[in-house]
Amino acid sequence: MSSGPWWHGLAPAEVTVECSGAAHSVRWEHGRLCALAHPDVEGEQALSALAGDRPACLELLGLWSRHEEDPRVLVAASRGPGDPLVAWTGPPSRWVGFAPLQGAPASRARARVRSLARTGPRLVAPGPPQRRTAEEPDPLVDLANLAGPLFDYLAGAVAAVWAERLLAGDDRVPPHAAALDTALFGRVLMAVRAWTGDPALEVTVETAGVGDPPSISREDDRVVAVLPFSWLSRVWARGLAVVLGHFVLAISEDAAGVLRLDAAGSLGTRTVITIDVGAAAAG
Amino acid sequence: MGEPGDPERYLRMLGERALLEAEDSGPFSGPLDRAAAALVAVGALSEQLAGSVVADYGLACALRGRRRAWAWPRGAGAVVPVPFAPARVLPGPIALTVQGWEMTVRWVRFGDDQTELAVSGRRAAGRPRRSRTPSTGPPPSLQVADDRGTSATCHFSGGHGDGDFSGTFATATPLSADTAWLDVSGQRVELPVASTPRAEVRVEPLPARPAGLGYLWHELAVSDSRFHRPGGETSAALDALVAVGAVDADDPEVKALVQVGAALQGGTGARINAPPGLPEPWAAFLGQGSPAASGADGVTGVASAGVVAGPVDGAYVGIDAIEAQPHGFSVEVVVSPGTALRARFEGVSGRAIEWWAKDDLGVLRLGHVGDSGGSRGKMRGTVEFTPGLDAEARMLHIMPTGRTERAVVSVVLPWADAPSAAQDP
Repeated sequence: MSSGPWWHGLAPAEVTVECSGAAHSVRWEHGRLCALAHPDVEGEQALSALAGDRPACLELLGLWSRHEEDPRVLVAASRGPGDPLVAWTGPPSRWVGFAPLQGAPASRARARVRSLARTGPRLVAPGPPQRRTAEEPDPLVDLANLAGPLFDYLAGAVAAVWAERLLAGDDRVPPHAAALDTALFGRVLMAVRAWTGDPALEVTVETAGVGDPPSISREDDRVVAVLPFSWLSRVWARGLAVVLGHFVLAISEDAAGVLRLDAAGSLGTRTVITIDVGAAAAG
Repeated sequence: MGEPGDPERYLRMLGERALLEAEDSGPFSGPLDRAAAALVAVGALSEQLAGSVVADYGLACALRGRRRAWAWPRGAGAVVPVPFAPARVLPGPIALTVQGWEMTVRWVRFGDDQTELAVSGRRAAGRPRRSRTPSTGPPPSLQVADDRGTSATCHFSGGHGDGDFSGTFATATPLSADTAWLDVSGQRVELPVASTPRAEVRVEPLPARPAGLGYLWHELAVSDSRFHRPGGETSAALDALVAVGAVDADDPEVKALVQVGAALQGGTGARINAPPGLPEPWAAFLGQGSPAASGADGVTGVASAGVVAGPVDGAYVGIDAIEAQPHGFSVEVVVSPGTALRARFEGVSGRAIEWWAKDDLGVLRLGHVGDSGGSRGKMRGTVEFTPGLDAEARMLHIMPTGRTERAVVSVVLPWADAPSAAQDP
């Protein structure tokens, strides 16, 4: 048994981007974001750098890649089904400031990225120029407003990056330890409350050390969950935190794509659930 | 990973719980902001890190369609205080009638960026009305010109209703501070020759205090929650400082602070039995009982001050004028950086100014900021104090107070026959 890629089993997702005067698809699949209308991304990036006008599809890819390791994504993103984000078309009082200047190519491209609504893939023309402030907008707003589950997928990718770094003892982890702990806490809290059906349940989350077994138990009037940070990418990001009324503590996977879920049916009991998602395609 | 007593972890967990448990802090600074400011104040977190955490959770709130505490934009950076010249203030009263409105100009302030006229008035009796219902509209804008040929339109800002109004008319561009007269909507008003304000300024250090308790008393003095949202902010700061070990929850002074905070809810006019062991100036403030002019029998008048003090813990403070009314008095101030004027605007720096005032009869007052406006760099505002000034008071010491030092601006009250010997506040 192995762990397999964190994204294995997640459905592909697409957004439509107004790019170079046409409607282009940007697709997330196998853990990667691809601009389908731009097969030679590196070549086009070089050309666009010279021309000073970056296609909106590449702008989105660049924005995505700049945040694939950003722990702030875990603060902004949803903690699960009970924590939906809303489409935010502004003007946001403190991050406004996104104001494409007429004739500024990069800003135009960014405006098009921003125009992707969470409500579903659709083509939206950039609005009229807004008041420009001295403050740079927070680019996470653009990513959070992406249609469908893309921002959730980005959160999964961020969690996977930091889980690997934790496992490797990477010295980039300690400065972000508090942020990572909190990211795990919020998602476990929401999942446990959904699992138990008690929205006010007190939950203590302890981040398990490498090699420590995961567990969930009741102590007095609260639930104590001991889970590794990798639970976020391995379990939660795949939408498998609660399966068939069970709280999933860990997942292992064989080469044929059978997921073996180590789950708690109730506090104090453990069971195994298997799901066949097929072999993982090459990422 | 993170340690349980780790300040950053504490702050993030507070933000996480507030986010997931749908606490809406509203437009004023919320528990996360106040906890962050407290942790910065005691050196448990850097201002940059605390500000980032607050900003990140602010973004998360906004992405969920929730209001959040107002704050300056992420990455707005620190504001450098800029010294400025004192404003010239001419006391009134000046009587005018403009477009059927009887107006009394209480004072005129010539600032370096605008000119303000503080005016009260009413619709003139006998003015024909088109409607039988009382007018609730604001007074008309004024056209004001100086003797240098500068003319500006002044728009009203303030309260009005049932034919009365009180507020200020401000120009968008400054008029000459040396003008001998003003033309107000066609009526020429000769300005009195301004007497030199009798005010002295000094800045002095405050006695050293434990950082945690010192900050909590400071926050109690500057917090808007005294007036708008009882309880939350000081509690958030106290909880944070206890969590990181900066304050002992069992300290008798903490219990006294909580008691004072509860008693102050609703305004500064409250009087309680002062618990023992209070630090100054709280012991004096709460121990003075009911002042003589506790009702609405204070003296009326305007005293110009025209001084700038500072820097006081990094802020320049201009005291322009004092306007005494029967129920209290207000002090017109200018502060740079502007973020030091209002606690709810200052982010997580914990550098808002406390406003104390003591007259030469020994009555100590704690003020709060009323109207204000301006920019991050410089704001002007009105600090309001109660109760009113006793007619026997001859001098007022206004004390803009930071966390480590304070300014003492001693202003001779011009309606007094003669100043008494200056006494330290």
